[in-house]
Amino acid sequence: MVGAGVSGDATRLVRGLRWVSLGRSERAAWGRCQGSAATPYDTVVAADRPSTTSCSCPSRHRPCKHAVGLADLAADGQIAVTEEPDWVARIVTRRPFTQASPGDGAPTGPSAGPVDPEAAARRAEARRDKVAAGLTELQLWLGDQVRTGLAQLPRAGYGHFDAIAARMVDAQAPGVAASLRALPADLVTADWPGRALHALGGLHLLARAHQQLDELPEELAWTVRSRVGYPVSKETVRARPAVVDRWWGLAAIDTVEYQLSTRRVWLRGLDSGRWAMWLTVAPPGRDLDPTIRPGRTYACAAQFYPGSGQYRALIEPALPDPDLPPASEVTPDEVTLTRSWGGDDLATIGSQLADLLAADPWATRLPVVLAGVPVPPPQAGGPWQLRDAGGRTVPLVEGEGDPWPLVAQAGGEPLQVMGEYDGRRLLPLAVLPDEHGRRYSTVMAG
Amino acid sequence: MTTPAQWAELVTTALLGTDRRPLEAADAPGQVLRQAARHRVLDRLAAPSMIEDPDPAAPPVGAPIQAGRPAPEPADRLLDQLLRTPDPALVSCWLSVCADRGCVVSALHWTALARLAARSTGYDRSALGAALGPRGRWFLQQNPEWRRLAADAQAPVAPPGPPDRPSAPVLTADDVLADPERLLAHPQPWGPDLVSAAYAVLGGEGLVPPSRTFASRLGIALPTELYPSIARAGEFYVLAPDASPARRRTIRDRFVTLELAAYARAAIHHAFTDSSTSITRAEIPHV
Repeated sequence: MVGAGVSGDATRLVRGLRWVSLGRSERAAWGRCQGSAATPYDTVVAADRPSTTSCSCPSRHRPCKHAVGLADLAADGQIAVTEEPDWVARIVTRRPFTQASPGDGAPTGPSAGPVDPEAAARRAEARRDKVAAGLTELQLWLGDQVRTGLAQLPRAGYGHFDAIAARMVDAQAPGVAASLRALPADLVTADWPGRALHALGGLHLLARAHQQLDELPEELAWTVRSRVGYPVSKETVRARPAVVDRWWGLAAIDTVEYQLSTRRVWLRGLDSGRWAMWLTVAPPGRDLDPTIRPGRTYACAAQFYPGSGQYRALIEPALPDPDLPPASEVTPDEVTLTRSWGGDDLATIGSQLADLLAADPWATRLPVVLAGVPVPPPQAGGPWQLRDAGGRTVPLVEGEGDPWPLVAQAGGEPLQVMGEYDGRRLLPLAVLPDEHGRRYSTVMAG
Repeated sequence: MTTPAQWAELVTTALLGTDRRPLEAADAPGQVLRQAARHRVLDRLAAPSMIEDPDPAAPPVGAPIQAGRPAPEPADRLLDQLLRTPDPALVSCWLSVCADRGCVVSALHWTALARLAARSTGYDRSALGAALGPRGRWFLQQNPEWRRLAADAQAPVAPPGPPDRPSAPVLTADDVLADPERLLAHPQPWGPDLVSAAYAVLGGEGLVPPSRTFASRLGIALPTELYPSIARAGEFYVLAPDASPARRRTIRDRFVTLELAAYARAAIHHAFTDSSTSITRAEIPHV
């Protein structure tokens, strides 16, 4: 996420008031920005990776506000294609522009060099053995919890779970470690015994599935690896078939997990109707990659990570579709004509969830568009609900405020709400435009 | 398939522990975990929320059809900006102009407007009700916390047209200097002597100092054609030779507030019309 200070400055810069020259090529976008110094700052942003930047300003914050502003201008398609000046050519032929990004899986730095397939296979085998040993320990731990009784878990504290989670990190199973660390949060709810037993059962199933990895269908095996926490290189993803479509960024949700800022952006193909999730993660003090934004449409390819029930995808090149401006900048009628599906009812969503769980039994989020009427609680403090045309209701996840904006948009009639459904509750993320003139909005509480 | 009773039994076993509540199985903990894994998936597919509630909370009764056309896009954007740092006088001005033009405010702003107006009586609730339209007033009625606001917003708004003015008492410049609030209560048009007296109050020549919000309210009430006079008056009073620096700063602050409010009011009117004319920003001299 762009920090508050950077965002404000970047917004001002985006207006182009302080740019001396701007241009872009296939490799990069560049500009000279008049800052507080006598000479303008030379700013360059890589075309395919907006997080790769160069700026001559003295800011210690990278990417600096000038680079963020320039990337924003480039993403909006407001910079004309011109020949690269010499100073830009010098920059883009040096590191980090010539360097693959850390998550690409390409060799970098001191380890750069030709990949030895046999050595890679040996490393993969060693890792699998390490994970298997860790998961065997996990099964013993799970059995111990059930043998001695779950009643002691709420009093056991975070340390009880942190110890086994740390062991899973050592065993290179970070996905399992994250599930274990999330467990104590469930122990404060009223129905914690059932929830805790479900969580332990899910981990038991995962450990068993890993034991039988070679016998599973290939896509399900990828899903098991993904849930355990095996890394997947971007090169592996790029080698998979691409789904070319106009991908509309519907909504984004930011979370902080173990000091890592994470943003999920949900996209849906306008032609295919397929869901995709673009994930970006930033360490403390760094901004999240703002390349994909809610409201914008990207005419490009999505390459999905391997695994059944997998929504995560690479969206490349993430350039906004020039024919489809952001949903917030056009009339509701125009958006409805170009970006509308109609919402589902809860019965349909139930079968979508069944499909997802059949593909990925550990899945926790189903992206949905529900056509429903928001129903305020009869008494203050009660749960808000969405009611579909059949009279079925689903509770809404409580947010920082009450979802009155949904009532305002709905007017007692169904509206299309995009959200994440976990099988129990719906987290509303966006209201989609419809033929009744409702406008696209991501303000869900007020 | 696990019945609710079987699941409850399983949870009880897990809570107490299979050491204390043994099962007839070789691997009792493993059996509990396997059943839990299966139930975890089935439970989510048969979530209670998905089952029709025999006694559901009643959904809101359908809202009436909205009357009036939506506020123009520039006006909508301007309201969005005003709501970021809301000033009751300016927001009320926007609402009044919106209602006078026969427009209604977008549903995207209803919640923010309702929350602000429910907390402060500084907002013109009649104008809010008129700008919300029948659908927006229905919205106010849905939240019990906004009941008072909804009642105030239902109050009828005077129809547009020449007001039926009773003969207003004559107001003189001396009256304004003695009590500047009387000017704001006096019907327009104001004579030049009254406006000059109001400027004199801001310039510190009134018999009583102006209230904290007087400059802002005067700016909103001031006719647009008098906007250029603000800069001239500001220059006259701010650069008065006999004033101390502190006094000049105070006077300048008042005229800056006056100018800002008058400019915002002009911008609000501008946003509701297709007119391409715009006013040049007046500048109050620095101390």
